[in-house]
Amino acid sequence: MPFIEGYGGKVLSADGKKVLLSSSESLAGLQAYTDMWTKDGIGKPADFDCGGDCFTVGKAALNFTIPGPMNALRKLNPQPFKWDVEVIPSFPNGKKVTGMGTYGFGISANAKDPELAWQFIKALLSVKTQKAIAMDYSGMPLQKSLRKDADILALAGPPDNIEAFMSNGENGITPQYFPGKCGSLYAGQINTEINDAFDAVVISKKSVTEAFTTANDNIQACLDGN
Amino acid sequence: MAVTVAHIPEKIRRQTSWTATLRGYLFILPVVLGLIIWTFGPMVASAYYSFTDYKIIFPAGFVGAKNYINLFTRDKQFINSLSVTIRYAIMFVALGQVTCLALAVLLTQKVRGMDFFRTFFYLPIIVPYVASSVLWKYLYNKEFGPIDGFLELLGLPAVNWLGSQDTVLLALVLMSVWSSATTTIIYVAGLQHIPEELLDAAKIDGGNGVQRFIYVTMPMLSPTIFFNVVTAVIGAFQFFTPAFIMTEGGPAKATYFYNYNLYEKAFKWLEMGYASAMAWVLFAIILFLTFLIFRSSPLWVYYDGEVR
Repeated sequence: MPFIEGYGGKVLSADGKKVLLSSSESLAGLQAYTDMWTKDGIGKPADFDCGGDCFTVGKAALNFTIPGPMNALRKLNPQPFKWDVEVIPSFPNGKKVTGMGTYGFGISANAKDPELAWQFIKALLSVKTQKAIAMDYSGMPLQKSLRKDADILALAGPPDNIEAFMSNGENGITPQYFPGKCGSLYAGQINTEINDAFDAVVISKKSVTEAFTTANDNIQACLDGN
Repeated sequence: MAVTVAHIPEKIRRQTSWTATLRGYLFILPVVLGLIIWTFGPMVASAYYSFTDYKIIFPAGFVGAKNYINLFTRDKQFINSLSVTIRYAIMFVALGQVTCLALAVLLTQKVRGMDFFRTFFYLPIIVPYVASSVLWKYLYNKEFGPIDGFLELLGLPAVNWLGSQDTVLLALVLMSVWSSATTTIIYVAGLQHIPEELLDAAKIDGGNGVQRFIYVTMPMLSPTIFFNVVTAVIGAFQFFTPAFIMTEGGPAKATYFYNYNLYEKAFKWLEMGYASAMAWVLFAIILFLTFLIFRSSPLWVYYDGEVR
């Protein structure tokens, strides 16, 4: 999604009815994304088993990731190599765009004690808990009030540039929501169609236009049918 | 003192018979209950769900034959996954039967230490499929796997076994053949039951080793081959674990087996109704193939004492 939006495209129309993966802007973004594998050779090869996480085992110099893995990486003793974090470069339109996750908590309609569940969620999202998560190198805080928190910014490296993670919230976009029963970017048919298109380009050497137009049409057919 | 049944009064005899019957039913009750609850129950449930749009998180609604129609008309992965499974089945059944039979012939030779060799070749069956999948994933690794290391020692180029669409299916077939020790053991048992006098008679008639194998051993072994082929075909169409652990259906859907497709539809897409329809179609395919093999058996399976 960051590459699509960084090139001025959109995954879905505002009314949620039209899939826009095959628009020229989206295809330009997807072309730039897949070029990392097919042209520039900097993406983790799709046909290569590193024997673990490629970055952690020292087989990849670069890793697009969320803050969560920091904790596990810091626990490696001794540290296998020096590492740090940086905000991804600007896209051609001059914008920095990055993916941003959400805390997907909810309370079931059948919950025995919804009030208690609500208190628990509020505790998870409190400044105190969010700061504790950040101080444990397990994530970035949700609260803007913590963005310049001195304790977090003074955390011992690696990463030395933890501020990059903190400030990158400015550039974050949340995952596209798809109506109906076709799944999401992370599960179901939509996820499969996009993964298949990626494989078709990177492994089967099909063109970005052909692969992602197919994905676009299949997802559109599913949305129309639901 | 011996007591014959005739001397037991009718009433006691009937009571004993009734008690014995009840005891028998009690003994089989756990198995029967297990079959009803864990096998027939889910089968009936899946048959029902195959006509619904059940997605776990939504209530199931009746959709008639829509799932079956979509499977054959709209699901491009249905044909692809079936094609992958059929290609795998052909390779696995052919290579597996030939290899296991050859091994069985070797394991019935009268040489010292044969018990050790039989135990050695049976060992793969002890390793759980999940563990052997992890093991073979390591063996096939292009970067640090010993198979490619050995090839390089011989001056041959390394093969990207699991990363290439051209070799990945063969890699899984080879692994499955390695795991087919049970088939070898069944062939060993079959070979041991071939009467020595038949082979001796063929030898006296001037038949050489190859002729004795083709005209005596193979016909006498044909019921065993028949059994192994049927079970191998059924097993091949149910293939799943290594594809799940070693390749995740890739690269580029090259190992997207029918059961992997079914698993994704059920547990990643939560399309339980659709996946149930897929399961019943698979059942029908296996039933049809088994029926074909059974119908063909009079042409090539010879039973001891049969007159033709």
